[in-house]
Amino acid sequence: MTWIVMSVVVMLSTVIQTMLPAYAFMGQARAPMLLAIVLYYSLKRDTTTMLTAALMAGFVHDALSEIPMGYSSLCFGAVGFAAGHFRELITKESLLPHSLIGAAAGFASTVVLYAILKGGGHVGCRLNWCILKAFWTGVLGLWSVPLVCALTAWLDGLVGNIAVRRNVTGIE
Amino acid sequence: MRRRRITIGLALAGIVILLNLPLPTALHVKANARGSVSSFQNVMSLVVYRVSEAIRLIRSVDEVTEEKREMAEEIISLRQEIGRLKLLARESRELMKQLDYRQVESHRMVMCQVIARGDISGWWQTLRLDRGSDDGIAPDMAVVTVDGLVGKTTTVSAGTSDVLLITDPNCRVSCRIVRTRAFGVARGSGVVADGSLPLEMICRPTLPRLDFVARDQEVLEGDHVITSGLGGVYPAGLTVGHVKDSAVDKSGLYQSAGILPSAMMDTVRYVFVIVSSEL
Repeated sequence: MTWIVMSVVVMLSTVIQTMLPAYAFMGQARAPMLLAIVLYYSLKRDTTTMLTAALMAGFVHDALSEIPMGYSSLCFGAVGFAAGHFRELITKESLLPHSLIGAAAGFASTVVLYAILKGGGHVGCRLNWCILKAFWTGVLGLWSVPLVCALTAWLDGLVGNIAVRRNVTGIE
Repeated sequence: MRRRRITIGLALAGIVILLNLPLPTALHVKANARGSVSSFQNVMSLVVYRVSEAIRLIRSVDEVTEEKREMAEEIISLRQEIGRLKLLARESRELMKQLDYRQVESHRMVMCQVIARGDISGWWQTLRLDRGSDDGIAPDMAVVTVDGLVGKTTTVSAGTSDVLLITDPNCRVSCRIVRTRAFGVARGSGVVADGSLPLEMICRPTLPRLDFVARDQEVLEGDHVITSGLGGVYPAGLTVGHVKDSAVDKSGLYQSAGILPSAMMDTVRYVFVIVSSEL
């Protein structure tokens, strides 16, 4: 059932992330809906599930953009690993920790992805553009990550993953 | 524990495989993925357009009435203009025949609707169109509106194509200033956010730049910039924009000018892809 929930959430998040407008004054930043899925599995589930989510979300992210295949999966996986270290801090279902981790992860993933893309000569934009974009991705992560986490948790509950949903220690 | 390690290993192997995917396969995967979401984008684009049009209509009934009257006047004026141009074209054809001029073919274009703006990652300034390889569109074809150049096609699937805008820093166009025939290379410059600007100006979008214009060439504000036809992607003579400002580059080797693009890329709904032309 985890795979079905993951696939549905990836599909929904993809459509929403594609549809939401991006503005020049925000460095064309988009709400990190796909990254939010990775964060959810990183904070609530084991590393294997998180890596699978990173692979799936990254695949879709790269397939629908000009980013070479695999870059986003790598970036999402790294950010997911880092976010996993904070899972013990989340002791109850609350918006604030998700928001803060979402903001930090949005900022970090944008900077990491910029470094990889710039290193490979795929983007021509400057560092200040990247910082602007990273800042706004962080701001958008403040609301999008709790939203996606709540939606995924609700779907998990709906299909009977409630016991897993309440597991915050990684022991299933 | 062993099972967990195997699964992590498999996931990491998946990432490595994706990173080393051959380019044709990667492009094929991308095209298929885009094709599958294009129907959603088409529907959403239509819904957003209809809703915004309805809101606009409700808000400004008077404006619409006035607009309609102006458009009616414009249609009459344009019909007269078409009649006059038809006469001139006939006359021109006769003269060309007499002078044994080669018949210049006009560009063959495919009209497309914009179904999405910007790619999902936000790193590139792009448009997604509702037509693709089924309509003869291929990568590296020029995209224009009636006002001027918009960009070039990049990834093309059967039913969609992505357009890299001329405002993107990755897009470079060989251009010419009509008045002086001076050459230069236009490229987008994204957003300025350096310390020299006041805080409220931190997000000011900057104009695409026309670089590498020879120092001895005169560049004036308002100069008309068109494509030069060099480079093989953009046919010669497409309007790019007008010069807004110019200065000698920091290196002191060439002039650089800011161009105000003629095409309204943030509001454009229909564009034309030039599928065949004489460069």
